[in-house]
Amino acid sequence: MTDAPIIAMSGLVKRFGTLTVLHDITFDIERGEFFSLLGPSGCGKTTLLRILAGIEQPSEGTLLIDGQPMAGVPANRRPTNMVFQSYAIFPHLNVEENIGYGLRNMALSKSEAAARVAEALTLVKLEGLGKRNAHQLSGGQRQRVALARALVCRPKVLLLDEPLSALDKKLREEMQLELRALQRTVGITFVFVTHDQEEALTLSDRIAVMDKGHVLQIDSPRGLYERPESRTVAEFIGSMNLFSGRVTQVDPGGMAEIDGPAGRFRGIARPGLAPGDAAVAAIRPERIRILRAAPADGINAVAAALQASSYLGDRSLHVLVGTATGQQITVQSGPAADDTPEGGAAGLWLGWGAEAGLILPG
Amino acid sequence: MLRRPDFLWVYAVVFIAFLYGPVLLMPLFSVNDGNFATFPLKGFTLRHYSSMATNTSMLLALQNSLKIAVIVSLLSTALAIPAALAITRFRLPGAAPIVSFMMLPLVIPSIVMGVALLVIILKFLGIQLSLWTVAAGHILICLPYCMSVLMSRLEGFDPSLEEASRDLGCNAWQTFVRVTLPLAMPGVISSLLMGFIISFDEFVIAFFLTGTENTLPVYLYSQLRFPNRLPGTLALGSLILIVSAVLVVLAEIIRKRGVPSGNPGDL
Amino acid sequence: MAFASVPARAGSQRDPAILRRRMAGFGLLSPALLLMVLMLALPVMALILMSFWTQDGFELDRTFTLENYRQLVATTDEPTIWFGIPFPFAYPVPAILMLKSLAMSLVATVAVIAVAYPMAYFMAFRITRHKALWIILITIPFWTSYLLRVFSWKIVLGFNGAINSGLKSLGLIEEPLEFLLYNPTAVVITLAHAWVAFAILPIYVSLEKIDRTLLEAASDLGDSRLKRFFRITLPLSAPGTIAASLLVFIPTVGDYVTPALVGGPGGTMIGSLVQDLFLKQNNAPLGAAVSIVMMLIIATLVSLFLWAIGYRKLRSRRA
Repeated sequence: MTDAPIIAMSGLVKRFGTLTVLHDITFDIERGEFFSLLGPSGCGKTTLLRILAGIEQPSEGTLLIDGQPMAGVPANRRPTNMVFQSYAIFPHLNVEENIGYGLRNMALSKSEAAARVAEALTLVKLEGLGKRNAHQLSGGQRQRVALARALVCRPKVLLLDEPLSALDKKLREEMQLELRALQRTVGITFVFVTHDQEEALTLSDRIAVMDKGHVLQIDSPRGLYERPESRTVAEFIGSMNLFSGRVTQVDPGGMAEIDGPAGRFRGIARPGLAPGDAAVAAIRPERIRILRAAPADGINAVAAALQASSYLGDRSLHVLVGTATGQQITVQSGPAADDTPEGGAAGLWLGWGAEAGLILPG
Repeated sequence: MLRRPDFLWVYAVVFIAFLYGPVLLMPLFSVNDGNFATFPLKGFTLRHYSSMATNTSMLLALQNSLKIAVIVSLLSTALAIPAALAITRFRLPGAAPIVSFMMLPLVIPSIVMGVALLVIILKFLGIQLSLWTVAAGHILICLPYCMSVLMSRLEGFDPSLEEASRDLGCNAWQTFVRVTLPLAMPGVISSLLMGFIISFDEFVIAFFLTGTENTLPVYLYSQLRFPNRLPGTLALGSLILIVSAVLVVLAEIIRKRGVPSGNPGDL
Repeated sequence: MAFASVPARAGSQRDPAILRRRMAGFGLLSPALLLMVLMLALPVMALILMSFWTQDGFELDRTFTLENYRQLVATTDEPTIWFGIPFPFAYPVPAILMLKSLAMSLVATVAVIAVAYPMAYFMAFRITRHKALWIILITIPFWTSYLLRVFSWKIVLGFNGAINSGLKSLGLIEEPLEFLLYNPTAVVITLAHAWVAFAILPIYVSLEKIDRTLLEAASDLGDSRLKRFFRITLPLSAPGTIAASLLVFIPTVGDYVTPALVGGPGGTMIGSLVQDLFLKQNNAPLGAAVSIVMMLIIATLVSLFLWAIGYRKLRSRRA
């Protein structure tokens, strides 16, 4: 039982009138995970979260939470609690009453409930603010109240709907660290919705990347960054240079080669590619090296001219223009500016090793 | 604010004078020691007010009006709360035409509603006219006002507050009692007060639908024809004006309190 | 995914959760809606039915007939002349009163809008502090007794009223001015005063909703304040202004309290006739027919007006 996933989704579909916002969502979330749903606005991630909470009902499909089917189970009977994007702090109640709101629905003695509220206040570092009114709280404090109010009910899953998006950058980074530490402390499964890929990479054990109602890929942050399975994911997570072409050769060892207007490229292939398929070669900016002369084998080599460089302290970013296609290519170099081109900006070459690049269906 | 003479400020002051001037003559003449509403004023007296205490038919009419107004305000608010909830919280098909239909009493001349109710009550149902038929007619005209007050209040707050309550373990009824009702309370009180004022002041429908018993406005209307009863009428009218004004101010203040809705239409 | 091709509308209608929610919603709505149907729709239908019956002395003749309507449009060779307009009806009173009511309401409505608009503009653009106070100040007269607001004009304009006695005590006139009260002008003034507070709020709301950056943009593009008002403010506040004028026009056409108190014999309106037919002449069927014709004429005029100015387009533009 403890090894079974805490959330199991199978074939979930959601329609609003004629609009289908979720298509055949099928995946599991493991116990104790910090799991993120990542995607641009309108991709269906919030709808999926609201389905988990029981606020929305799926049009089709089944959902199990802790092994129990959730069909027909309303939000108030689910072992989940939610932190809303607007925080939804009850304006007619003070901080303590807000946090204790859900406890009134449990068979708890008054002293027991009070103790749990106090414990929750400490957990989110709001000791002494229990009597404050909602309108006397700052944005960060409201966020903590919302968090405490959900956690105090000891849910099996905590659902968070872009809880950091209303905070300014500095506070957001602080809260990211706290949120991660908090999740380790309480050991509850967190399902976190965000459109900020950096936030998702920082916080999560695993991330589901969503687009237009589909789940594109589920993987660890490292997996998503280093082994994106599609062009969309490759472009959405971090920055990526793409060169299009057609597959010319697929090796049994998992490597493939493509040929396109920008040149010939070799990299680790997605399974299923066959010669003749349209494909792209994908390479991260930090894996490209700027060279003075063309590489000997002519593979993964692009002639380019430097357009602009920006120095960012710990690294430098260079924007180059490919000679053959005119496309922009971004290259990142480390702090030791050994490969920063000095002097001549034209007649440069870009190169990378075959193991550094990917060949993805295009 | 008086940096430079501003035409609009002058206009506003003149406008307010025009709006209040005629009405304020009533309390002015009601404390005038004379039997006609004429200048010059003769001196201050409260005798027109003290004589009201012995006017039994007026006191009876007042009692009737109070009874009706309380019943009407309670019933129309009780009907309007679930209806306003249904319109603002449930995505109902056909909600827009239903709301338009329910707002119709705002634009139909009251005489048409009066005669239509008179016809169905007397000629079709064969029910005797009484204070109850007046109350029924008043609920009809109060309901649109109560609905709009409550709807704008309910539209004003974040729907995720109610979702949060469900998420924290409350069922629909508990959520209504613990979140929706407390947050809508300024609207509810304002709806109660408005229902009371509308019914208490209403004349046309009461005039058509009342039986042998008078409401206060119907009594007042019957007195307007007798010039010799003018001072007493003025005193009674002044009292009605003051009561209505106090209740309106109260309703408005209560409605503005609590969570700001941020909706400029929510007046 | 096999269901993806099924039209989504059909899918959502079968969705039991949505159906249950709709049922709950209609359940909450139904008491109020039922009351409105019982007390508004049914009585109006009864009124329509009644208009096809006739009054025979104290008895009601319940045979279906168009007699009442025929009576309203029956013509004669000797037209009644009213203000130079010939009315070729055998029973011209309803037609004359209808036209007169429409004219008086129209004048009152135009006066109300002309007076209310600057006030609404003032409240929306000039008042920065104590806005709520001003709104309450405007609202109070509207909520106080209509009867008393009308009656107050009798005190102002009457034979022994405030104006006459005031002017007399100042020595400006010898005899009271009789033309003040009991005429159509007195009715129009009283109607305008009684309804002006009601008209301010919709205009104020539509002015308040105007995005202030639009006005800044117009100035930036070279509009003077006056030009900006006619090119931006006035068009954007048109929906509220039109709503306000209808909210005043429609109920005032049928008013009878005002003509009864300050109108005198010359200031009677169509509402006075309806009241008379029902309560004094004991001819409810004819009264019903007059009410229905009145409602139809108002509805037609309002629809024509809205169609002529393209109200639908105006509203959609705002959204």
